[in-house]
Amino acid sequence: MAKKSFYHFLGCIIPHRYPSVERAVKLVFKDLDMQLLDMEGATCCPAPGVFGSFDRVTWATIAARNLTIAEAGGHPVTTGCNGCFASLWDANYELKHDEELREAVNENLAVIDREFKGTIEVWHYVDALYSHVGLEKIQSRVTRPFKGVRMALHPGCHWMRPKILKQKDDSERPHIFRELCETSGAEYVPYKDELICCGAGGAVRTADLKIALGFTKQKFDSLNEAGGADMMITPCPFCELQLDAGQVEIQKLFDEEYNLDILHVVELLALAFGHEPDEFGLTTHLQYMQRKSEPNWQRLGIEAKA
Amino acid sequence: MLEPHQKVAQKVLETGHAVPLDKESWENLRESVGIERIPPNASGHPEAIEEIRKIAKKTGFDKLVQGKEKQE
Repeated sequence: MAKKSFYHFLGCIIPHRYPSVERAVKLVFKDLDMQLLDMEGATCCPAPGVFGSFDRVTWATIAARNLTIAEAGGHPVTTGCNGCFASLWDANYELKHDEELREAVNENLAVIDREFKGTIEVWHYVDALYSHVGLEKIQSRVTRPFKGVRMALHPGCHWMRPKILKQKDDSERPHIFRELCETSGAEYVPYKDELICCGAGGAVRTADLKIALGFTKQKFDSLNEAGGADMMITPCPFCELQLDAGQVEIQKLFDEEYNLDILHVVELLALAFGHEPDEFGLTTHLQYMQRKSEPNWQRLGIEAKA
Repeated sequence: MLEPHQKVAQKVLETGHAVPLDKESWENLRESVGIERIPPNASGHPEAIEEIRKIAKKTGFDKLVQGKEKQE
């Protein structure tokens, strides 16, 4: 049977700041017999907070330009970033349902000899894995279960919202992301503020870092009130950046120290599938680079190489 | 539009990305995890950046995000 193929939309943060996620997803998709195709010449999605908030037609045109790359090859798109998913999925949906917007966008695309046709779908890694592979197959691939490791989740905002349109999961009582993470064998730890924003989104981090970090701090405090966790998992690199490097920034701005390992869900799965941290560069997370530290191997239940 | 938001938008028009591959150290980081130094996105495709500029010119977005010093 032919492998299921997706055009891989990298976005900005995965390839330019957290390349460990790019490497990890390639390992995971290969292990699960799915193919990731390069999306040559893709640009920023564009950032929904900045572009979408200030000029809807330009936002939709740049997103549509990215979608035309996949349309030309005839395969769906997958992305591991909630923000990229928000722009690409939302633009794809709006352009398929709003004729006036589609006309305006195609008039703009005509200057670069492109046309949005509306022939493909957009998937987050999470629902590509959940719907195209299935939890059973994913679980069967686990050779290094995270037994006894307490796992907090940060699902983030955009991959399941707006729920009425996206129909991916119940955004107020989500279960898909949790079930996917639980295939790793880790123990899910609920906490009150699991569903609040990491603080970075909606162009807040860009506008006011301290306000953005206030959200992040609130999440960590809420988790600590619930008894803490050994790691936190997210499906988004922008959330990962905010929660990971944000700990260093919080220490500088609020003089409070948090030490929590933050993993993208594909990094968690790569480890659970038996790949070594070195195979995808787990130690290159910005938190570790800036603090000159390493993941807490003992809490993660992983034996680090000497 | 706040100046920091304008700057992010300007980066997209200059590099194709809001968070660009703007230092050799980021390329080294990619290489260290076992992937190519330049990803297959606009970072290695100047013609893609040119397309974004043409779109921004057509929609007037380039003027919207122009810094105040350039407008004067």
